[in-house]
Amino acid sequence: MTTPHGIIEVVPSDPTNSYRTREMFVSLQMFLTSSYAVAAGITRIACQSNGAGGGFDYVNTGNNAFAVYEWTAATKPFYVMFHLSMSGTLGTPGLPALIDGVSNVFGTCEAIGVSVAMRSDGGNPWNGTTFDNGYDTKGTPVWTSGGSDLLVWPRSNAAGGNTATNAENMVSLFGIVNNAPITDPVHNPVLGSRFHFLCDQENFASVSSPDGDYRNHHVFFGRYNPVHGTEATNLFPYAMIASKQYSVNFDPSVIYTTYGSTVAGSIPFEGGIAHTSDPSQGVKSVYLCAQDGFLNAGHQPNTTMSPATYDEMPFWLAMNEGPNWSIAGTTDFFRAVFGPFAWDTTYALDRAVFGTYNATGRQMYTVPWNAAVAPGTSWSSRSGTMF
Amino acid sequence: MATHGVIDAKTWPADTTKTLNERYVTIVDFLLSAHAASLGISQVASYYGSTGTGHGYWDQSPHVSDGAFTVWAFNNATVPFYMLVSYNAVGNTQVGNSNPCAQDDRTAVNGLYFAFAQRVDGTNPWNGSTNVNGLDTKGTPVWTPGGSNLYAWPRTNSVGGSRSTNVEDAMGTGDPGTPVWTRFHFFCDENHVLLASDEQLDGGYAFTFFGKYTPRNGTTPACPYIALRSNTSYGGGGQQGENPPFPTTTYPHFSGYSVYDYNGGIAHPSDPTKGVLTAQPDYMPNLAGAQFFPTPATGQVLELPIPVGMSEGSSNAGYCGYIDWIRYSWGMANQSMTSDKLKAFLGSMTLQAWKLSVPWDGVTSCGTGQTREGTQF
Repeated sequence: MTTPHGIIEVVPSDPTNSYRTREMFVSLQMFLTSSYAVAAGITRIACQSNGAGGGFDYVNTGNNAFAVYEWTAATKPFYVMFHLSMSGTLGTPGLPALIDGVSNVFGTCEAIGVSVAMRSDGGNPWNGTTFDNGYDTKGTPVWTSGGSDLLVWPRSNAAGGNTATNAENMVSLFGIVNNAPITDPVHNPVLGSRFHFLCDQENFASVSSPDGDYRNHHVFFGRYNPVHGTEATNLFPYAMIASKQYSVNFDPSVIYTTYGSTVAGSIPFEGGIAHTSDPSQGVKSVYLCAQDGFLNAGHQPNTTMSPATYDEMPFWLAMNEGPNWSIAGTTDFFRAVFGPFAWDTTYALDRAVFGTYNATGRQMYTVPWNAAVAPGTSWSSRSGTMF
Repeated sequence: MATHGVIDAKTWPADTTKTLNERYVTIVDFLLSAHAASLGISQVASYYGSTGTGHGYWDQSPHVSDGAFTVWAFNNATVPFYMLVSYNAVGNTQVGNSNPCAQDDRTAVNGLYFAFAQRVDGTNPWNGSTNVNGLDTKGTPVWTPGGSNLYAWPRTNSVGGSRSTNVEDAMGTGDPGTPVWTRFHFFCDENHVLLASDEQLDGGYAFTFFGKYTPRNGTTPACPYIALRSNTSYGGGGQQGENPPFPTTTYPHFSGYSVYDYNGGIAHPSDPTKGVLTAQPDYMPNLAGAQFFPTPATGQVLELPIPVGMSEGSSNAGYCGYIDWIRYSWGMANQSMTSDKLKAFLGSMTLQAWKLSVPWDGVTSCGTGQTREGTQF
């Protein structure tokens, strides 16, 4: 794992869901063009602001805006598109587009979508224009192989998927269904949502709480460590895990399950994994499970350490789409933990805990953090904190 | 780091005395070999046994006898450690100079047994004589901390253990039960030791492991070492069914009067004054199955490291790291090998089960040896 960066504690409070979604999207774009993102090797190659010209701002950025970034320093460079939907159904100038397999995700279509692609030859799979001036358009298909092998997420965009022709599907990075207030006893009532985006040269994770509570909408994409014996043949060890549901508890039904389907949106969780030995076969469904033998009340926190510390264990990934099966490897950027309360951190504040609503003694997950402020510190800051 | 060992040794049937003698001599012969010397293993002490006349098999002259022991220094280990190898077949672990001695917290028992010890400062904890002349004696206690901290395996030898005064306990290495043919393999490198024994020649292996684990992130244990001895009670010994070679339970696992179904322990990773406490291995049950192991997609042999931790009360419990010298694989036939014969898979005869992936010599076909001497490499 390389030096992490991110934008955290984005807590916009506009009472209008669509505006709050836009604030989240714009803050993310501001981070992705910041010096922090540049340090992680992230470069924007295309953008469509739909009304804000060559940049993005909180007032003029319009519905169906999008931007595309290259993770240039990744071992295998990959490209990420973020798409803003503020209302109604997905439309121009962001077509073709689907989020979680539909054009009106969550019914309200107040969401941010994301898709990822890479080519086995390292080339750029983005099929749209690249003026990067606020007026770019998508191609059809959105991502192309260019004569190489295309690895594209979520799974439905890949070979055999129902959106493979246009490769237009995205997973929901964030989405609002309810307009519930944050029920913090000190700050109550504060209407709003909370959003964090963490990344390094090989990974990104989005952790959002659309309703502002401890439940999460999580998306992880990045590089995993191939299982022993496959390091030389698994040349594209990248996977996506996406909750799709707007606000879920990170309970066993979320952990020990399959992410990504050939039919977009047909199962509760989106994502996928690059074929573990043959990139020409594209992206397949991925099974997630935790290394959990010590993740229980009897062994957490770890009292063999001084001071006692909650263990962060790897998640295991496996390609799980017959006849393409294989254990794949373990995550490091995104780790499993048991016991601490959501928004807890390591002593150094360099890892933070998310996952389950208002409860301890549960399985959770951790992501990198900024080593400075704890989650939940901010109660009104649409611009968040970058690091 | 190279691994060496003696593999595919097959011992005398239907005689407890002879089979235990042959196991002991075969292992000691290896430890005396140039292979072992190349790993930095050297002999510290020896005792030929209560009626022994020298080093040799029961039908040779000279030969070792009940109560024989040898002590070995693994000088090139990250933290040097010392291994006691001993046996008896007269139902008394304390015969002759072998006193004091227990096996799995018992003294009225037959067996081949190992004990391990190391000091945090790397010096020699052996408290007996060191003449290496077949007449050495043990001290009481058997192992001492000197001016350092002592880690002594099995767990009973350590702080609060039933054998902590004399530090005389050892781990049994498989139960011959009613003796029949037995096949065993003994491996080591600078930091690890493994004995795998098919006690009844029925394909059910018992395992005794001691060695180093890779510590969890954020920890720097002075002595990241662990011992695990699998269940030996199934039908006279060995693994059966789908269980992993080291099932997820506590080591030692005290079950019934003075009998440890599993034995071992793990050095406390952050407080050497606590010594060796109860160990626990883990595995990945969610990843068992033909859809993940072996992988039809790649045709490769996939292996998983073995997570290990401590599990002794609420104040000494948690993940410590993982063993990477031996690993788990699923769905491999028992005693099968990789095509280059550099790895073998041992466990139970159940195909759809976890197996232990162990180093192999690149030449020998696992399960074919017919001599008590086995094949050294």
